[in-house]
This record gives sequence, C-alpha cells and structure tokens, in this order.
Amino acid sequence: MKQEKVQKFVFPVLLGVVIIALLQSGLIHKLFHIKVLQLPLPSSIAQAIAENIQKIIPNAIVTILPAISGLLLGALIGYSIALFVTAYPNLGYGSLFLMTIITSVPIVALAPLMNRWFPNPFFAKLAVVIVASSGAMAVNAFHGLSDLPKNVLDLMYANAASKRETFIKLRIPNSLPYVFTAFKIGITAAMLATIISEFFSTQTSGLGYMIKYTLKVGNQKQIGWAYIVSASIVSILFYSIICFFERRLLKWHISQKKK
Amino acid sequence: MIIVKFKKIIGLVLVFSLIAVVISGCGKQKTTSKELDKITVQSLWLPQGQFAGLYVADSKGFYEEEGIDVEILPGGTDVSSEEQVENDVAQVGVAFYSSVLTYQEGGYDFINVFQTFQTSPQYLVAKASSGIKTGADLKGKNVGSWFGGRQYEFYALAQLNGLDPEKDIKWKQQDYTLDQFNSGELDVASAMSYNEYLLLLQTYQESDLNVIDMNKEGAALLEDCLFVKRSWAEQNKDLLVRFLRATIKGWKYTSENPEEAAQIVYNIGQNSTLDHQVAMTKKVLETVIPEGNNASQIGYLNPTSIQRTIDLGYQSGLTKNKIDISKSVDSSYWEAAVK
Repeated sequence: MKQEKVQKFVFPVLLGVVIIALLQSGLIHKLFHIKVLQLPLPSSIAQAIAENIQKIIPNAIVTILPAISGLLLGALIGYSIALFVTAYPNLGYGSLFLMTIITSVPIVALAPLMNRWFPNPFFAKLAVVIVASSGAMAVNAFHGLSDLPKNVLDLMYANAASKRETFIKLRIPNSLPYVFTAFKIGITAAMLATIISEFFSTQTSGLGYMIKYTLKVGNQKQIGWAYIVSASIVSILFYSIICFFERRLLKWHISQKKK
Repeated sequence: MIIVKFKKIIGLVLVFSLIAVVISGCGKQKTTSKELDKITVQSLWLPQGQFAGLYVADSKGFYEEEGIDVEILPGGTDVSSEEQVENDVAQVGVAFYSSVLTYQEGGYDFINVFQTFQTSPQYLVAKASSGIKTGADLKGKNVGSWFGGRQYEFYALAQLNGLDPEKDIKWKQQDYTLDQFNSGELDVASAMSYNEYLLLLQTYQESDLNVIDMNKEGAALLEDCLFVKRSWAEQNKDLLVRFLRATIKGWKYTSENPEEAAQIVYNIGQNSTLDHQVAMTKKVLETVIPEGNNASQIGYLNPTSIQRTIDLGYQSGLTKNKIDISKSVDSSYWEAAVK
C-alpha cells in the first residue's frame, strides 16, 4: 500500500519538481537554444500569475463557463445517441458513424464558422465544445451499454427481464465507468476547444484571447505564459474533480476496487 | 534470433542517422556566395504594396548594386518579425515601431534604424449615418481592433478625449474581413488607410464613411520601420548602410513609378488583385513621403514623431516605462546612407 502511494504520487511530483528546476536553472533553455526572453523562467511566470491574479480569475471564468456547460450538454447529447443506438441498432448505427465524422472536424476550422453562426460569443463557444466533446461520450457510452458479459445478459434473459429492465439494471450501470472515461477525455477537449474558439471570437476576454494577444506583445510574454499555466491548472483541477466523483460514485464497480 | 537482433540494430542505426540528417538540416544554411553579402528581411505580411520599396529594390537590382543578396521572407498573423530577428533567421525585420518598443522593454536589444512610415496609416472607420466623427464619439460604441499591441493607439486616442479606454469603449476582436462592420456588429472598425479602407471604398461611397485619422487626432503611433539587433548593426555597419541606401532607392523608384512597383509586388505574391496593389502602393506612399516631405527624407527617424510614439505608448500602457529614445533609435546608419 505504502509503496504504491510512493510510486503513484511521489515520483510524478518529483519529476515535475526536477523539470521546473531544470527550467529555472536555464539548462533546458541552453539545450534547445531557447532564449529566456522567449521562454520566461518559472519564477517570473509565477510572479506574473501573482501580479495578475485579479485579471486571470475573471478571464478564466469566461472560459470555464462555456467549457463546462458545453461538456455537460455534449455529454447529454452523446449519451442520448448512445442509448438510441443501443436500443435500435439498425436505425442508430449510422448516427454513431456520423458522430465520429463530426468529431473529427478540426476545431480550428469550426471555431471561426461558429462565431459567424452565433453572434453571441458564449453560444459560439458552447457549440464548438459540444461538437468537440459529444463524440467521445457517444462512442464510449455505446461501448458501456453494449459491451456486456454474455453470462449476465443470459441471466437477464433467463429471468424474463424486459428490454427496459435490462437497460436500467444492467446496461446503464455498466456504462457508468465508460461515461467517466468520456468525461475525462472530454474536459481537456472542452478546455482546448473553448480556448481555440476564443482565438477567433469577437469577445475581448477569456484565457484564449489573453494567451493569443499577450504573447504577441514584447513586454507581456510572461503574462501570456501566466495565462497558459492558468489554463493548465484549470484543466487539471476539473480533471481531478471528475476523478473524485468517479471514485465516490463508482465505489461498487470492479475498476475502483482496491487490489 | 541473432538475425532478429541484427535487424533491430540496423533499424536503430537507420533511425538515428535519419534523425541526425533531419537535425543537421534544421541548422542554418548559408549559401556561400563570394561576392554578395547576404541579408534576410522578415516582412510583416504577404508581399503587397505596403512593402513595395523592399521588393522594388530587390527586383530592380538595387541591392545587388550595393553587393547584397537580399531575401525577403513573407510574414503572417503568427509570424513575429521580432522573434525571427532575435533567432537570427532574419537580420532585418519589418515591424511596427510601437511593437518594437515593447520588445525593447522586454529585453530584446533592437534598434530602429529606418522609419518607413512617417505618419500613422491607422484609421478608425464608421458609417456616416452613425454620426461618429471624432475620438470622443467612441464612448459606449462597439469598436474593432486587431489587438496584440495594436489597441494602444486607440487607447491613446481615447485618453486624449478624456475617455477611460478599458471602460468607456466596448472593444471587439476584429478579423481580417470587414464582415463585422458590414453586418453592423461593429460601429467602428479598424482599417489601414492603404488596405481595408480601400476595400471599404469598393462597397461604400467616400461620403458614406467617417474616418478618424490618428494623425489629425494627435494619437499617431509610428508603424512600419526597419529594426535590427544592435550587436549585428555594430558588426555590420557598412553592410547595413548599403542595405538602407538601396532600400531608399527602392522607395524612391516606387514613388516615381507606383504602377510598375505595384506590378512587381503583384508578380511576386499574386496577392489580391493588381488594381488593389496599385491603389495600395499609391496610398502607402502618402505615409512614406507625406505632404511636406520630399524623397530625401525617406526613412527619416523624425525625433518628434518618435518621441510622441514613446510618450503615448507609455501613457496608454503599451510600455510600463518610458523608453529612452537614444537607446531605442539609432539614426547614424540612415544618415550615412543618405550622405
């Protein structure tokens, strides 16, 4: 148990510390011929975060709101499609295929389009996030709903369970771990999609907007990096929240059982 | 078993040699020309009338006459002239002087050696029906900017009119089309006198548009200039002077033959239409040689307008400190070139 904790926690943290130390010492800069002016030292990025925190937080909220609402809506849509496809495989399989195609449209191509279709920047971002995150949910949830142990399905059949009962008692519970996997994939995709969408937005706030434009100004590079680091922190934070819920809600599931 | 291992080793060797080839290919390739010195110029945008002087000097052989082989790299939205020069990809960069100021403050040791645009070609354009005519009318309006440092000229304009730039004006990110202006999403759009404004005139009558001219408003920040690394300039003084001399000749030729210059630029880039390039070149010349100047003042580092750029830049928040003009600009190379 203890050794596992060391491996799971201490080593990654140690690696992070070593990398930050290497950056701070300027060794990585030397190795790749990058100038400190072009990649500010971690200490000056940290300082920029501290100095600009009052601006970073409202900008982060502008980004987080569409990212999270888009993720939830996208999940709802994706899961509904998965349900439909499972219930009516003949009718629905094409829609899953369509989903995969839509998801593979590059966000950089989609974002400027959405900004034209939806004059409201919030809805434009929402639309991009839904497209970017619903596909993962549909495909994953479909697996969870349909990839069942044969004997369990036989058991339901032997007990004369109705289609509805099979869904509620077997298929949906079985899909939950897959749903969490989709959320974990989705949150990073959602943040990425929102930030890219902000590159093309008319709005003059949000992490993406700040990253794009501060990096272009010669004396604001460390501020740009402060926003990049903040964006990563936000993503990691939400990823952790999803992991937390996964552990809490899926205690009963085999994937969460301690070995 | 042995053969499998052997294959693996060969595979590894091949992979590593491939990586080595790729890495060595990434290095700088210097064409060893015995007679000509080589200079790479990082432009700000695609080949267009805005940079006519450079392209004319190149294709008319003015650089070659001075013993220089010049390569002009086109720019783009995410190509930074400043970073290209800092990384020695280019020796000379085309950039807004206001942008160079921010890099100087950020610690890049650049100097402005040639002020191509003597006045600011930056317009803010509103529909005449809106009644927006001056900087003071911007209050509460949706105003488009390209940002990335470009907004500070407007901040200065707002401040000169007693407005708080961050609170009194609704800023919007403007794209490179004018759709937002046409659709009414923007009350006021950013437009360069030599580009977007000319495009607007294809759809609107001149009388349908109100133009806020940064020069008349006293808010002009200087734009296109040529900058170099201070250390490079000191080591290549003669080369830089020759380069500037040929560049001046290029602009002079452009001013005498704007149509031919536009044709040259159009042939290189095939960018937009020839008509647009002709119109752009003529309009650009109005800022390269503004009224009251003559061809001998092409590239002149006018201390008044430079100091104004520094002062307004500081007041509007473009720079945190007031940059020292003597460290920001070095006119000795230009002076030697026009002698």
